[in-house]
Amino acid sequence: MAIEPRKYETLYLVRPDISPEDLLTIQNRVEQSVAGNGGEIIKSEKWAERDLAYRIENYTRGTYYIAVYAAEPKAVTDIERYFNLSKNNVLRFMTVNYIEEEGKTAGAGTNVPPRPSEQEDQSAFQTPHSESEEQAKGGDEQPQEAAEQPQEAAEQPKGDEEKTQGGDQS
Amino acid sequence: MSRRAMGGGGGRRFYSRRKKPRDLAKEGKQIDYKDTELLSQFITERKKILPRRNTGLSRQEQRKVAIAIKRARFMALLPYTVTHK
Repeated sequence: MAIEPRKYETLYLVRPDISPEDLLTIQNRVEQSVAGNGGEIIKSEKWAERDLAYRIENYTRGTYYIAVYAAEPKAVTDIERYFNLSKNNVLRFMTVNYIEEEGKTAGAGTNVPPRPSEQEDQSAFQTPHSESEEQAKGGDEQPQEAAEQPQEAAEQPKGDEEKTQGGDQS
Repeated sequence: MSRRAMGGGGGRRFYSRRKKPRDLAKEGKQIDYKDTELLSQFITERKKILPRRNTGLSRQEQRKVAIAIKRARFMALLPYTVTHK
């Protein structure tokens, strides 16, 4: 009873060509659900309009709205049920536990000493070009292999020798 | 013999080089599924999640990043693949 209600963050994606009235209904409905479950809205606003990473219902663009609120868990199920019923307007929605920014950054990171193994790795693999190149290339192994070849060859030329020998014989 | 040579130098298969350890919390960055700019640093060109040996993240942070990427994918903030129909 004295427990503070949890804070939730609901991000929902509505179709880009939604009518202003429908949008208002959705937003009102969210606020009602929160109020009806003894909670309060902390934030309810447009987050972004952007191109979707993939098509949803043949839409390539969509508008994201965000609602942050503190309420009983029932509010979440209530809102999500409503979203499920208005599928033609709400393309996607997701509710997560809301984590306040300041609290998070102050608490984390203070008691994480660097691991000895990681330090070793760092020194063992340190090369002048590794950082930026890997960033650019992502995880694709093939081009990276090629980039590393000259260096690796200098360190252990054995494998290359084998290859050239085989080529001569055939 | 020749087959062995053609087979490509036995065990000489290289994986991408391990990255320097990276601590997002120390950088003051919070792992949030809405932060696609940050998350896209941890996916490959083909939009796969990078393994920890490449991201250099701690076990805990890697997990948070992976979950955030998956959330972002569901919300169509990040693609699952480059060949979406």
